[in-house]
Amino acid sequence: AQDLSWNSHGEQRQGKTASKSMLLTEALSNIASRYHVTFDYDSEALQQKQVTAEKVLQHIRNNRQYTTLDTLLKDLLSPFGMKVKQFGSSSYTIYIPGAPPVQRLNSTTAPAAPLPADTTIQGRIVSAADGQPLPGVSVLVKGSNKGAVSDADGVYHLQVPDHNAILLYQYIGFDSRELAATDKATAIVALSSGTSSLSEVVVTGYTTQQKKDITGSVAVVNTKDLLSVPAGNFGQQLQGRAAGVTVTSNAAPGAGVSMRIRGIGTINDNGPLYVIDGVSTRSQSLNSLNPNDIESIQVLKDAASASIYGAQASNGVVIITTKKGKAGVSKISYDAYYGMQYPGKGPDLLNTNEWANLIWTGLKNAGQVSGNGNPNHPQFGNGAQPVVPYYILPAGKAQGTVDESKYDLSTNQIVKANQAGTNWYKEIFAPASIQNHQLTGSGGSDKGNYAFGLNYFNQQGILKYTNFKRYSARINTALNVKEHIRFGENLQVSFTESTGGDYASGEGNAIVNAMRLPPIIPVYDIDGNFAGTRGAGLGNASNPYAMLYRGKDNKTKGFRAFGNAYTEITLLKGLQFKSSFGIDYTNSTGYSFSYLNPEHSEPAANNSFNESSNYNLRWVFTNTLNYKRNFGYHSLNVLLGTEAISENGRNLKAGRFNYFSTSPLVWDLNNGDPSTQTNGSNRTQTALASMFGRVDYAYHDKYLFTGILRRDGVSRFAPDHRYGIFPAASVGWRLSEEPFLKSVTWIDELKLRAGVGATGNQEIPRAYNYAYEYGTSPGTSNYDLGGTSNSTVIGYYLANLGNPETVWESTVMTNIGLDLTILNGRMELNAEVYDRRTNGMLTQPQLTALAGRANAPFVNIGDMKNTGIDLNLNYHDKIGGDLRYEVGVTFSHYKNEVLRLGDSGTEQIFSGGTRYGTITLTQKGQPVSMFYGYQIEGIFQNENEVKTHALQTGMDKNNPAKFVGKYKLKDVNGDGVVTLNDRTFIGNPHPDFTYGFNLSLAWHNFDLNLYLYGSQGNDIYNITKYYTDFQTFAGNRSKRMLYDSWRPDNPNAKLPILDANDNISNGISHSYYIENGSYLRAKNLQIGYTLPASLLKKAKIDQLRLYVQATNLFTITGYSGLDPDIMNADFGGSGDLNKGVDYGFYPNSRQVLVGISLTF
Amino acid sequence: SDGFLDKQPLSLDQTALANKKGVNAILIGAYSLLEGRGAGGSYENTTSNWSFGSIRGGDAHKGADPSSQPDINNIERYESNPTDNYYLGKWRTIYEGVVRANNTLKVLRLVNDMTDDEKKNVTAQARFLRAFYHFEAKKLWNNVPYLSDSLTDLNPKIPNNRDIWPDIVADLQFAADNLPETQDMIGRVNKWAATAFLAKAYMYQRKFAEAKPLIEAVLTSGKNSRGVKYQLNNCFQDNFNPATKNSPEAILEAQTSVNDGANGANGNSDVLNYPYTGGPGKCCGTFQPSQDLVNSYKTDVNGLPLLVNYGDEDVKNDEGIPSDQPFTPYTGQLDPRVDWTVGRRGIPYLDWGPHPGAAWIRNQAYAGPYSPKKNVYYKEQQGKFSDASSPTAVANNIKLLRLAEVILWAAECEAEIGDPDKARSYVNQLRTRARNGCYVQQPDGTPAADYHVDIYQAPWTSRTDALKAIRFENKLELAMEGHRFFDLVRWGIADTELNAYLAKESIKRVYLKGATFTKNEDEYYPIPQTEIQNSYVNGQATLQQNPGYK
Repeated sequence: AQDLSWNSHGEQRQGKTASKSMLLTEALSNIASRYHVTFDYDSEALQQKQVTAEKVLQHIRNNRQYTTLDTLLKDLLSPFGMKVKQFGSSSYTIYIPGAPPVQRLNSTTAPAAPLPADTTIQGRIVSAADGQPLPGVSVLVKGSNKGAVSDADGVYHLQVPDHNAILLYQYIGFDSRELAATDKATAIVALSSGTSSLSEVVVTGYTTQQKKDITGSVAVVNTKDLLSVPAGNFGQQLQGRAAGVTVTSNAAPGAGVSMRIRGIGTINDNGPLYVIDGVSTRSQSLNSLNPNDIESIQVLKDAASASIYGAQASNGVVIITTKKGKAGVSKISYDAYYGMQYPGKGPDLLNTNEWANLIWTGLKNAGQVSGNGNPNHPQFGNGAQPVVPYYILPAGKAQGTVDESKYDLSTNQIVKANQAGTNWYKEIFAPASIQNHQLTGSGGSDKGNYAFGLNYFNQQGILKYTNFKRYSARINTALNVKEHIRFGENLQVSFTESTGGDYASGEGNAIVNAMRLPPIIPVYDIDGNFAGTRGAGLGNASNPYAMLYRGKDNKTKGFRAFGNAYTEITLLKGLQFKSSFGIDYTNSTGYSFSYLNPEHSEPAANNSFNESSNYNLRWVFTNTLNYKRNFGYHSLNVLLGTEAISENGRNLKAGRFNYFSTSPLVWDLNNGDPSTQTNGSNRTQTALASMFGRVDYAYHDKYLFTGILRRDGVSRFAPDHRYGIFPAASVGWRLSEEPFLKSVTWIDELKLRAGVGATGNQEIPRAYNYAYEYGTSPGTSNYDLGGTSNSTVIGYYLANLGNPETVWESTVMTNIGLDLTILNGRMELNAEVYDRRTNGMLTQPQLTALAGRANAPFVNIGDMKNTGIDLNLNYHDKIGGDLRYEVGVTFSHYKNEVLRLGDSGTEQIFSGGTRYGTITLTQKGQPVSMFYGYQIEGIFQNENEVKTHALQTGMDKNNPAKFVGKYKLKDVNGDGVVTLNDRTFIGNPHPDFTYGFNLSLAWHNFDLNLYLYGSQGNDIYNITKYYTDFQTFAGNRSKRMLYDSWRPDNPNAKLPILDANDNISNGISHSYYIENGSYLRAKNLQIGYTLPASLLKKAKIDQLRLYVQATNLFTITGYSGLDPDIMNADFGGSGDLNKGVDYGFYPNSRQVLVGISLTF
Repeated sequence: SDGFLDKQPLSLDQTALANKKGVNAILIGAYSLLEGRGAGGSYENTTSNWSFGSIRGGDAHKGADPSSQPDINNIERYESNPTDNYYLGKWRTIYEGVVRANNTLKVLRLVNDMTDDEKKNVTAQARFLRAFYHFEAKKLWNNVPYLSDSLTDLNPKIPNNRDIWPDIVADLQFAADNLPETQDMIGRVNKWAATAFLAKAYMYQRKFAEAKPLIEAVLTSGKNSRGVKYQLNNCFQDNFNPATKNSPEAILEAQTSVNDGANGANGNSDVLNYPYTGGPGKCCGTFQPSQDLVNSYKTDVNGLPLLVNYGDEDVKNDEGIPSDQPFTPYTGQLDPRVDWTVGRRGIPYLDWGPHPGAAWIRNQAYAGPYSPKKNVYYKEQQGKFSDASSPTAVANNIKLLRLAEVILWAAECEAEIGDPDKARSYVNQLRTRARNGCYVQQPDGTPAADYHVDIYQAPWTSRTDALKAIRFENKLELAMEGHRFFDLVRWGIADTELNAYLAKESIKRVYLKGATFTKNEDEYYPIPQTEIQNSYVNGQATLQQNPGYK
C-alpha cells in the first residue's frame, strides 16, 4: 500500500506522491482515520478502483476546493457512479444507486436481500490504521446473545440466525461498528482506533459529552496507567496522573490519601466530591472502593464543569464510572499481582556507646557534675568516662552483681544492656507481602449487559503486625426492558479489615518511638518478656516492637455498600428522563485491647478493652430530564434536575478495664470490670436539597457554549442562610474547524476554552453550626457536690458555640484552556490557566481562652486565591515497524494566597500542634500554612558574640558563657530583643510545581512502563528532629546531634552545644527544622510480556500477559526524614493548616511484584 | 423542601436550660472545674498547684526522670518558656471556669421558676466561683484580664493592663454578703467560705486591716455548709485522708470522686505524684520533696524549729543505698508533720509498709530519695477511694483552703498590724495539734522517729521575728499543698529565699546548678504565647507578656 503521509515530513514528499494514484479503499481508510469516521461499503464493488492522492491531500492541506468532507467524498466517488449517505455523526455508507443499500438499524432504506437462516459468516477484523489483524474483537448479533471473538489472526466465525441480523463489532480502544449480515464488508472489517481521544465520551456531571465538545476543565485519567500502580486505593494511584490534582499519601496499609485539586481552596475541608456512577459521596475514605472496578475517571477541575454539583463542588469533583458489560460475547478476566514491599534504611541513630557519650558530654557541659567532677548517671556511673553497664534493670549493674534467679516481671524485672545497640527501626520494619486478585466477568446483548467483579486485596504492612485486607464484589447490570425504558443498577459491597497497632502520626506512634527509644534497651529481658524504659535514666519512650506485637489482634472491620438503582425512560425522541436512587452505606466496628506494659517507665495501671461501632447512611435521589437535539447546524443539550441528599450517622463507643485474662477469646465488654465501664454515643444528620439546569449548545460543531445553574439548600446553616445559587458559563472555539486552519495539515484539533463559574462548600464537621449547644459528660461537667466519693451530680456546660450568620463558602473560578492535537493524533497537548477565588472561607476561628473551651462555630473568615497552570502532554509514535512508544508528561503549578482573613487585615491563624507551640502561620498576603518561627543566624562562638547580640530567651548578659554554643536567632525588627515579634516565615510547604512523567514502550510482545513523579520547591517541617536532635525528650539521638553539634573545634556546626539543661534550643519553632522537601521518585517500572496468540489458541485463552514490576524504585531527594511524600496531619479537620509537617509518618516502601493478566 | 432541610440540633440550648433544674446543672458544670480537670489536660492544670506552687517554691522537685514532664524542669529552674504547655493548659482551664460561672449568671436571667432567694444563692455561688478562678490567674500571672457576665463577644479580647483585685474582691464580697450559712450539699460554698476567700484576697494585697476582722469572724463564727463549726482536726493527717474529707477543718475542698463512670476523670488530678513502681499507684515517681523541706522539720531541744540553721546539716537519707542494703533512718529530733508530708526510707508509708527507699524512686541520682505523701491513699482504701481503671486517680479532695491556713493569716495580721504575741497563740494552735500524739507509728505502736515538737513558750515581741516564725510554720504546716511559692511572692521574699534554697539544694540536685531566681521577673509566670497570639487586634497584641519573658 502506498504511504500517504500526513505528518510534516510528508509535506516534502508530497511532490512525489501528489500526482500518484492510490486505491479508493486506501483513501477511504486514511480519511476514516483522519476524521474519525467509518465507512461501510461493498468492498468487492470498490475493488481496484483508483483515485488521485492529490485530491485527498488537498482537502487536508487547503480547504479551497472542498469545504466539507461530504464534498470530498462526493468528488471521490461520483466518477464510479457511487453515492454516500451519512448516518449519525461519524458513519458513512457508500452505495451504488439502484443496488440494494446496506441496511442499517436507523436506516429508512429498503431491507437487504434475504440471507438464508443460520448462515455462517466468516471474516477478518483489522485495524483501519495499519491493516494489522485485531484479535479479541467481540462480534455480536444484535438482539441475541450470539457472538464470537476474533482469534489471533483477527478471524471470526459467527452463525447468524436470520436475514435481518445486524452485527456489532466492539473492541476496546476502537470505535464500534455495526454492519448488516448481508454486507460484504463483513469479510474484512476495518476498525478505526481512537488514536485521538476527541471522540471519547466522558461523563461530565449528570450527562455525557464528547471530549471535543467540552468547554470546562476536565481531566480524563487513563485507568490503565492508574491500575499499573499497586495500591489499595485509587487515590494513591492517581498521584501525578492528572495535571492539577495533587495527591499525598500515607503508606500505612489501608491509610487514606489527601487529594487536592488545584491548590488549596480553603483552610476548611479541601477534599473533593466523589461521584461514582452518578452517586455522590463526601467520604474521603477510598480504601473500601475497589480500584479494579473503575472504567474511567474524570476530574472536574474548574467551576464551569463542576458547578453542576453546586454546594459540594468547590474542591473539585472526581467522577468515577465503573465497568459495565459490553454487548458481545461474555468475557472473563483474571488479574493478579503478588509482591514484596521493602522498608528503607531508616534514620541514622546512635549506637549504645555513642549514646552514652552524648549524654555524658551533655551533663558535663551543663555543669551537672557531682563532687568528684564527673556526671552521675544511674546507668553509666560516676566515673571519668561513662561505663555501659551489663544490666540496665536494675540500673547500672555490672555483670555478676544481679541474681538472675530472683527474676520477677512485676517486682524484679531484669534486663541486660544491649552493648552494641538495638536498631529499633530494623526491629519494627520487615519486608511484607502485597497481593491483589481480581476476577471479572462481563457481557451483554442489546437487551442489556452485566459486569461482575470479585476482588481480594491484602497488604501486609512493612511495619510489623499491621495489615489491610479488602474483599469486594461488584454487580452492575442494565436491562433494556422496552425499547424506550431501561433499568439498571450498580452495586459494590466491600468488607475491609485493618489490623494492627498504632501507626497513626504523632509522637505516640511506633515509628517515632523507634526513634526515641535508647539503643541500650534490648527488645526482650532475660526471661523473654519485653524490655523497656523501666530502668532509671532511660526516658519514657515505649518499646515500639512491643506496641506493635500487642496490637496485632486489634481490628477495625468495615462494610460498605455503594451503588444505585436507576431507570432511564425515553419520553420523546431526544428527551430522556432518568431517575436514580443511590446509597453510600458504611458500617464499621473496631476493637482494641490495651495490655499492661510493665517494662515501661510509666506503665499502664490496668489492661483495658475498647470497642466502637459506627454507621453512616447517605442516600442520593436524583431525577433529571435531558433533551438532546440537533437543528441543522445547531446542536442542543438541555438538562434539568433535582436532587435530595440525606446523611445520617450514629456511633457508639464503650470500654472497660481490668480484664481477668488478656486472651482474645474474652475480648468483649462483658468480661471487663463493670465498675470501670465507660460508654457514649452520638449522632449526626444533615440534608441537602437541590435543583439544577444545564445547557450545552454548539453551532457548526465549532462554537460551543455551556451554561449551568444550581440552587442548593443545606440543613447546616440557619434557615435564613440556607440557600445558595451557583451559576457557571463557558465557551469553546474549535479553531481547527475554521477555514483558515483547515489548511494547516499538521493540526488535527485546536480548541480554545474559557469559563467562569461559582461553586460552594458547606462541608464542615458541625451539623448544627448555627446553634449554641449545651452538653454534659461525666469527666467534663459532672461534680461530686455531695462529697460521696463515688457518684456525681450531673452538670451542663456550653459545649458548642453557634453562629447563625454563617453562610456558604463560595468559590469563583476562571479557567482558560487550550487543547491541541497534532501530527495525526500523535501529539496531544492540554494547557490551562486558572484563577480560583474562595470567598467566605469557613473555619473555626482560634478563639482566645477568654471565650471558654466550647468549640468555636465555623464562620466565614476570609478569602483565598489560587492561580495555576496545568499542563498535559502526550506523544506516541513508532520507531521502525515494531517499537511503539508513548510519552506523557503532566505538570501542575499553583500559587496560593490568602486574600483576607477577618476584617482588620492582621488576623493570623497559627497551627501545627507540637510540644513547643504552633509552627505554621496563615495570614493575609501569604500562602496558607507557611512555616513560621525564628531564623537561626548561626551559633554563638564566644562570649563577646553573646554580649553584642540581641537578648534571647534564656540568655543572661551577665553570664554570657552559658550561652556560647547556642543558637543565634535573628532580631528581625532590630529592637535589641528577640521576642515573638521576631518570628518570621522560615519555609514554604507549597511546591513550585509537581510533575509526572510516563513512558510506555511496546516491542513485539513486550511492553514497558516507567512512571516518575516529583515535587519541586516545597519545604518540609521535620518535627521528628525535635526528638532526635535536641535535649528535651529522653531517647536516642541522631548521629548529627553527636557529631555535628557545636564544639570549640567544630565552630560551623548545625546544632547547638550538647547541654543537658538546654530546653530552649528546641523549645521554639526555628529554621533548623526546615528542610527542602523536593523529590523525584520512580513510582513505577513495569515490564510485561504478552504470550503469542498462536500459543494461547489451543488453551482457548484470548490474552495472557505476565509482568514484573518495581515501585518506588528510587527517590532522589535531599530530605533527611523517612519519606518526603508526606500527608497532612489532621488536627481537628484543618489538615491543610499543617501542610508539609512531618510528624513521623509511615514511609512509602519499595515494592517488587509479579503479575498476570488473563482473559478468556 | 424546607421541612426536609429542617434538622433540629440534637442537643439542649440555653432556652431549654433556663429553669431551676437547668441553671443548677450549669452551675454544677462551673463547680466541676474546681479540681482543675474537665477543660482539657490533666495534672498540669490542677488547682493543687503542685508544680506552680510547691515545686517552684522549693517544697519539692519535679522528680521522676529528667525526661518526664520537661515543662516543669523550666518551672523549677526559673527558665520558663512562654510556649510551655503547662501555662496554656492552666490558663485555659481557669478561664473556662470563669466562662461557666458567667454562663450560669447569663442563663439565670432567663429563668422564671425560681424565687429571689434561690436566684440570689445561685448568683452568689457563681460569683464566688468566678472570683476563685480569677484568683488562680492573679496568683500565677498577676497581669490578667477579668471577664464579667455582661460580656457578649464571641471572641473576647480583653487587655491585661488593669489590676483585677477590685473585681475579685467585689465578687467575693457579694458572695459573702448573699450566700446562706448552710447549703443542701457539702460541696456548695457558703457564706463562710466566701468570707475566708475575701480575707485571702486582702492578704494577697497586704491589706491586713481589711483582712483581720474577716479572719476573726471566720475563726469565731465560721461553719461549713453542713452547719458544723470550723475547727482544727484532732490529727494533722486527717486533712489528707480521703475517708475524713470535708472535715470541720475544711473551708473549701475540690470534691473528687472515683468509680463514677468517668474513669478517674473526677479524681484528684495529682495522678503522677506517687512513689515509682511497687507502692501505691505504681507510677510515676513525680513530686519528690526537697532535702531543704525535710531539713526544715528538724527541731531543737525545745521542740522548736531551727529557723535559721535548719539546713546546716542534712537529715540523713538513703541516697545511693540500694533497697537491699541496710539503712538506719535519721535519729535526730523531728517535727512529726514531716512523716505525714514526706515519704522517706524506713518510715511506714501510711499502711503500705515501710518506704523501701530506692525501689520506690525512679532516679535517685537525679531527684533525690523522697516521695510525696499528702495526696496518697491508704492500701485499705484501694478500690473504694481509688479508681478501678486508674489507681492513681483518687477521691482525695484537693484542699483549696483549710482552717490552719486561716489561723496562720490571723497570726500574720497580728504580727503585721496587731499584737505579735497574739500571733504566737495562733501559731501555737497548730503546734499544739502537731504535738498531740498523732504520729506515724511503727507496727509495734512506737513512734517511727524521734518526734519532738512543742509550742513557742517565750512571748513574741518583735514583729520581724514573729513573721519569720509564722512564715516558717506556714512552710511546715502547708508544705506540698501548692501554696509555698505564692506565699513567698506575697511576702516579697521569693528572691532571697529561693536563691538561698538553690545554692544549697543544687549541690545535691546538680540539674539545679546555674539556676537563679530573678527578682521582679520570676515572681510571675509567662502569659502563654498561644494566648498572646490569639489576642491580636489590628496587628497589636491585646495581652502583654509579663516582664522578663520574650
